[in-house]
Amino acid sequence: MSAILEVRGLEASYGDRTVLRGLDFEVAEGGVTALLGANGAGKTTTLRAICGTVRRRGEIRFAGKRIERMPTESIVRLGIAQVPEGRGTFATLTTEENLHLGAMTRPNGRDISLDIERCYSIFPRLKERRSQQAGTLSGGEQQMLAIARALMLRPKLMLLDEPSFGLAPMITKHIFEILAEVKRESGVSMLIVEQNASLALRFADQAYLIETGSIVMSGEAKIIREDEGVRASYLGY
Amino acid sequence: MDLFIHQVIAGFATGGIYACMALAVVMIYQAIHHLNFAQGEMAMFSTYLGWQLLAWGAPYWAVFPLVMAISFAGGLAIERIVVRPIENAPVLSHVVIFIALFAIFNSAAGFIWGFTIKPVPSPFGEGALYPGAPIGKHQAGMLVVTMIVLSLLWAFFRFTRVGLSMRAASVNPESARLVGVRVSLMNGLGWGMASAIGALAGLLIAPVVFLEPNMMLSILLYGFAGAVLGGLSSPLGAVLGGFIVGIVENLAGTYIPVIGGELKLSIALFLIVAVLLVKPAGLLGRRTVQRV
Ligand SMILES: Nc1ncnc2c1ncn2[C@@H]1O[C@H](COP(=O)(O)OP(=O)(O)OP(=O)(O)O)[C@@H](O)[C@H]1O
Ligand SMILES: [Mg+2]
Repeated sequence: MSAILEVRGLEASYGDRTVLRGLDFEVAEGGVTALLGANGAGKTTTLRAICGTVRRRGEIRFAGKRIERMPTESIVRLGIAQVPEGRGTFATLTTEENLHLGAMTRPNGRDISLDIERCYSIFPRLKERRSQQAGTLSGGEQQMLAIARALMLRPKLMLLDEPSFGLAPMITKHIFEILAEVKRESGVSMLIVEQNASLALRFADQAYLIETGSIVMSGEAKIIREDEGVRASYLGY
Repeated sequence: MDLFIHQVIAGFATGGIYACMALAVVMIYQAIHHLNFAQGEMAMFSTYLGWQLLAWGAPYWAVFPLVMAISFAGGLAIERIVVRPIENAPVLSHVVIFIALFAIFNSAAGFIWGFTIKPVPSPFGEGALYPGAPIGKHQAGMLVVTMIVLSLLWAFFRFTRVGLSMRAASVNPESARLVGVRVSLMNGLGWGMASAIGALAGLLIAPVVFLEPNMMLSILLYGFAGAVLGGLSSPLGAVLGGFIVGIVENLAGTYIPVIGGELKLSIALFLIVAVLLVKPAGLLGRRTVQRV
């Protein structure tokens, strides 16, 4: 399978502090790649570097096109949607306005209302809260909203930063089922960051392990999952 | 009772002007999280432009939209040229820039047009609205125009995509960027719109306070007061705050004899402090947790 996202020698820094030190990884077209690693390893920074919200160097190719010099707004227009760490809710806007914002780069039209209805059928909870201020939704509802907002772009690639963060196991399971269904239906590719390694490895095809800004291991998710040594020394479960 | 109602209505009319200034202040505050004290001087300068066009014989109703359009472009240009480059600079750099803008507009207006007071004719005519009316023709016109403009603005923010993008950019700039909103363009638009609204306020109030380089000083103070009272995070609150300040100012001047005309400003500000002691974020404001 060809890669929709190819990253070579990616470096990123905050001020004069270098956080990523030359990462190489790929996301296959229609595939799911997981980024694993301890707190502070640089996973969130990697997603920010792809979208251009942090200073970066190196080569990032999306669908064959170099994007490492593009501004964030243009990268989004290519079809890369991010579900950011902490959900990135527009707190004082309503649920429905948050969804409209997800489609802001698409031409205005009936499609958008249809897609909002589709999001409501995937997440009926959001429909009940459509005119509620999004900041007053529960954590799980806000996570659903963040995913729905990303879907509103009709993305080719979704970047998901810890979609299970702070959620009860039942809700986490529900969210991953929905992600699997979205992937089956629309063939969107995904790059997913997760603390919960066992969950991520079951969901992903390919996985990379990051330690202090470098990739220390990579391979097929299935193989990593079954490797006792890796599990004990890196993943700790 | 009649007197009371009359004073409330008159307060509404000036309150509309304060509401415009408060809204202008809040729009810029939402974009850059600083209070722009040059807002009043920008509005004063726009008013002089309008006066100049009128003096050259342009019809009033052409001058209005034209001056608002010029002010929009001017506000956008100020944002691009002096505010954007210091986006991440400390508070003091912003303060210095605002003081500079204040001084530049104030002395430029004095230099070009002189410091003597100029009367400005009202487009709505002189005298009472009807015999025995609580307000004059000009105040009535002022109220109608501000109400129309404020309603249009409300509809713009509520129902248009650009309006929604501007709100998103101010609520959560990082997320706004991630959905493809051009946040810096939205900030520029915010400056442009704020300065056009300021121009409107200046043009409308000029026949009441007369035209001179310091005409907007106390009006901006009332505008600030309205913005803080309503909540700096809420444009609707700012408008409401502006109206409340106008009404309170008028009632205090009428009913508390020792206050008269001179101390109206202090009583209004005193009431605001009292409200803020109870509701620190303003009437409609939200207390936000500072993002890091
Ligand atoms: N805005 C910032 N300014 C300065 N340093 C930052 C900033 N954001 C992150 N860092 C630093 O960069 C390093 C990597 O952070 P990052 O958020 O990418 O880690 P992470 O792998 O996502 O961690 P977590 O699992 O806790 O979310 C950390 O050491 C962090 O302190
Ligand atoms: Mg993180």
